[in-house]
Amino acid sequence: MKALLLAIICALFLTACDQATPRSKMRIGYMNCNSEQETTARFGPLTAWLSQQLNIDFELVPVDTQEFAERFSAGEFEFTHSNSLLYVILKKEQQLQLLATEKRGRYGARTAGTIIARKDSGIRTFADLRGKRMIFGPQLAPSGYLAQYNLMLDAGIDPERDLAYYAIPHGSFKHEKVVYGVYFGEYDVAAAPALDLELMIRDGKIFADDFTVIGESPIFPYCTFGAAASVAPDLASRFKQALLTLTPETTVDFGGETIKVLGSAWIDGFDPLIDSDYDVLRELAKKANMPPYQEF
Amino acid sequence: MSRDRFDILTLIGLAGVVLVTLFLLLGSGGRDLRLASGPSQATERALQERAQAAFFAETYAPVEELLAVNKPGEALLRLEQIERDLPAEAHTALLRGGILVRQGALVEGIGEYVRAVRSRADYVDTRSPLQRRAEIEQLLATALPVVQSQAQTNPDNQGLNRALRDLHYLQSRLAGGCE
Repeated sequence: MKALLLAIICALFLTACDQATPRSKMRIGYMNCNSEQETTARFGPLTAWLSQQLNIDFELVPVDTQEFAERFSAGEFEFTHSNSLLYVILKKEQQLQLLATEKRGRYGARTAGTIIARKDSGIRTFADLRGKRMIFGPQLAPSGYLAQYNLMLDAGIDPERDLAYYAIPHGSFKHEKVVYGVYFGEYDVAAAPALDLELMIRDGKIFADDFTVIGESPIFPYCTFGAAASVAPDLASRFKQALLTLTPETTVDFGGETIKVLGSAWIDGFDPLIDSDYDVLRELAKKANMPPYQEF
Repeated sequence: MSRDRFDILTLIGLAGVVLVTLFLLLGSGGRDLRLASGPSQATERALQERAQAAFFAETYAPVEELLAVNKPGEALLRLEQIERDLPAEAHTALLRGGILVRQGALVEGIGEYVRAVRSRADYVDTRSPLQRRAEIEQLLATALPVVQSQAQTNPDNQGLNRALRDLHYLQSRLAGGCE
């Protein structure tokens, strides 16, 4: 009888302990590619899966690209998912820890930038870009702005002086707008990410034959997961390992459905790149006088 | 029923036709029948190989032209377009593999070579007009030491481990190993 009573008391204590120590809470800031709604829908299942794997309640924080560094500095989130240029900036300024690089498209964990024109435009070479109307992707986009800006500088074209003018589209789907801007004749040339061209051709939105590629950048790392310097190395390591174990078949129960984690996030997988893999991007940023190396 | 001379001649003629037909069927006639049914297997194979080579040359000519003027990224996009019409075609994977390796996406490029060889053994067959043994040997010579060394220093890197397995697979196929 005494033993039974003891067992009941122990069980009560254990239950009480469970309730008294809830899972810790942490936040992952995801850079918006197009909109908050899209970011939330894409990364909700991945965030839920990470919560399960690491026994931490992760909160998904959608973040505008332009506000990303500022909000990270303000401590609004501990983990980051951003483009590779933001990783380079936060690594230099905030000692962000590199976790894993996202794989998407033919180049895997890397991507590239291209300068395109309509095939029937007569624009074939960099010299033909002088005096033309050009549309770039957003300014902090490595494969939609930085890569092309450098390609032009390398070819002796100063985008600030040699173009008739250049513009950056507003709102969401900027990369697609850039491609359509050239396709429908609003602009002569465009700074298009190689990945977006690949996906648009695959989806039948455009034909490869309709465009000519005037320049192609070298490949560099794609979107990247990072952890704040304050995140314990053990947790950062577990987060990284969790990402690397993801396969296209991994599922999570989310919103009453069983969902494929990678498919839902438009990701093919993750690669454990090392920081020096990002040096190519650092060189591009230095040459183009872009953050984190900008000098006035 | 009596038979006249005409009936007898008709019966003799019919018997002759039957005998000749039997002779043709059982004797050398069998060979003639085979000839009449179409070309031999060897001819069929030669025709198929030439048609295949001509088809690939025509289909992938824009890709080869872009590669010749050092536009690998644009060539990659053309392959994407071709893939819409010819899904999972091994020749697309082979060309894509070459471009990706050239661009520095080594792991992905090696994976494409493996996909190509798995779907069409001709690429490692010395007798096939489609064979690309020299290209694959060159890939092994340059990529194997690099991937081996990287995989040793990063044993947890699944991508590198997969690339190493892929290179060993290509090595075995070149050596005559089966699927």
